Amino acid sequence: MSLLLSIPRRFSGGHIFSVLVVFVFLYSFTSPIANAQNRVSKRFPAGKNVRVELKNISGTITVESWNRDEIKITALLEAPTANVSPKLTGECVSIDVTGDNRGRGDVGDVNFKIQVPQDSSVDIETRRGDITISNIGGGLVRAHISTEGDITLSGISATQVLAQNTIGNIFFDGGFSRGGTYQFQSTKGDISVRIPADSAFRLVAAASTKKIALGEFWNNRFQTLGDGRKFVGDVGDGRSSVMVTTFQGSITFIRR
Amino acid sequence: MTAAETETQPVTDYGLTQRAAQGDMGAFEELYQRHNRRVYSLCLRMTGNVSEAEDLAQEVFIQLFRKIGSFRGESAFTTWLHRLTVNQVLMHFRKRGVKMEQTTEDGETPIQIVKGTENPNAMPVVDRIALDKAISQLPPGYRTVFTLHDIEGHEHEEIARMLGCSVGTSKSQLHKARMKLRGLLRQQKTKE
Amino acid sequence: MNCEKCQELIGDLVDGGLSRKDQSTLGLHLEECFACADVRNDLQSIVAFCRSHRGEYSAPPDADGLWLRIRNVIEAEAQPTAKSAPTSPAPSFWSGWLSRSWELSMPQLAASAAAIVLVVSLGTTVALRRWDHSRGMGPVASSPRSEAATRVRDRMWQQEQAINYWNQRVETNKVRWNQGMRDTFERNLKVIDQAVNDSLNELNRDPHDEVSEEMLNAALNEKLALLREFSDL
Repeated sequence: MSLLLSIPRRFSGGHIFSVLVVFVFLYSFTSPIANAQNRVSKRFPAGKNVRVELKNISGTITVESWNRDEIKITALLEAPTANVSPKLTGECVSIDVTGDNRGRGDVGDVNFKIQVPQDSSVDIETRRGDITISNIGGGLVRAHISTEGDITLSGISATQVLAQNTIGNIFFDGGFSRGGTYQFQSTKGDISVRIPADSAFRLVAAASTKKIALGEFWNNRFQTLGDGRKFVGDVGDGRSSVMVTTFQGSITFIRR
Repeated sequence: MTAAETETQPVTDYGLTQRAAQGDMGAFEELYQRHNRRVYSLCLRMTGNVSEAEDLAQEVFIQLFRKIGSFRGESAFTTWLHRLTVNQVLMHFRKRGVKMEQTTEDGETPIQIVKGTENPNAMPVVDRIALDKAISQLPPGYRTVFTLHDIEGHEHEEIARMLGCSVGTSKSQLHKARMKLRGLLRQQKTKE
Repeated sequence: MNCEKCQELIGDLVDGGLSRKDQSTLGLHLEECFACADVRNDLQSIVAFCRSHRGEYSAPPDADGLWLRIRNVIEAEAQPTAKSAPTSPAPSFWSGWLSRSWELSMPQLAASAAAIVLVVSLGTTVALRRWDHSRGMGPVASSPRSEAATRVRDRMWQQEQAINYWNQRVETNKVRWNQGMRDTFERNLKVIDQAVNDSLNELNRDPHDEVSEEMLNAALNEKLALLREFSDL
């Protein structure tokens, strides 16, 4: 009782702030949203040239390299509950997201963070949500979004890169390897390719909007087709093959 | 044998290919009816995915129609079709960037050696559903060699030619595939 | 012999390709080591099962639908070569047409009807426009134009068959998706359809525009891929 009486009747800004902090802290443990989320984390030992395959339904996906010979997969699952069970088979870690019992179409967002050795191959598929892949130099980097989401690929030196979405931008920052193939396709999105000035590649770029800016990679050997909707030509000795297509967006090449 | 029985004797595959090469769609449909299960099953086992297998089976029969005039009947039609199917699937793997050899930098993936104290669970009696499920979980390289050798009955020399690898690699891939499969079958039992 | 060496040789033992000497050495180890004997027994039963079930095949989920798709592609490919080949005894177009028969499932029948409406309306638009623009120019100039239009219509027809098939699968599963997924799907399908229509409009303006034809093909493939991927959900 004496304790209650000792509580000051006038509240300062500091008191109110403290009460709010306590309230937010308690709420974060008791709210249904927080309860619905579930965190899964798993590590696998990885040799050289390991491959990671992820088939997600919805949510953001971040893949980055680190200096360890292991793969770490962290998934944040939202309601309705999904099943995430990464499997290691040979040199391939595969992750498939499935629903509880009502098929896969009712699965909530699952947000992934995957850390892999730099020379890994990465094959990511999702129905919707952003994909960010950075500093990967294995054989393959594939980012496929069936519907909407941005694809950001930075520090990529893989020999085969495939990036495709329907609505959303695609950004590639990396190098083209000799003999490599690089494909970027968006139905409604801008595609930006940032590469070193001395890159050598054969380019086929098509945009229905005619918004194709090759910057300083343009040269007069380029063939212009369809009244400026398509450019075909070699930059340098055309050592790698690059194909860029967008229907309702722009294509921009930027020198690094 | 009566005259009626003689007349109803089925036309050979070779006879059908000759007619299909002349543009007879009825003969080609008969070939499809006879062999679609074989082609689809092989595609399914090699890819482990139903819709991929369907697409590949479709592509195999379209390729078959394009090339049917070049079939001279020197080998059995099923052997020829089998080769066509395997090539189609391998081409599909290459397009998707699937690596056929699951090896480390120095060429070998270490196999998990089973020691006396490990893995006390006995492997369950093999059945079709469990085996198909386990095969679909193998990496593509292991799955291909296992399917071609143990299921389809090819020799290592043939597999090496098809995959463009050495006989030793084919043998080692097969051993790893079998050991992996054994582990997967045991895991299935543990989950049950 | 250690377990590692033993398990290397078990594969050859199972396949019957082991020398007598190796067989006896291996036999001694297998008598003592239960783990390796287990491996041998397991591999033997896997391989024996595969051998005894060799030649058993499973049917495709929709073998008849698969056949119709294969035949449509083959027939569409065969048409241009049939036109160019100088085969004089070939039956006339009308006799060929009258003697031919089609096997179509209900969705394909519906798609056929839709395609016929599309072809007729396209044909009418093109014919009216040409009649307006080139009265007095003579009929010779119109021939390559109609060939290009036919090529596009053939392509549309083929793709519509496949799109129709996957669309049916999607429709069956759609009820299981959550509202957000349904909205996303519809929104993206609309964007792809817009890309298809833009390319078709360009082709209406200039049937020889190869870039528009390529873009149309790419957009149709995109639509097909979207439907296929969502048919799994």
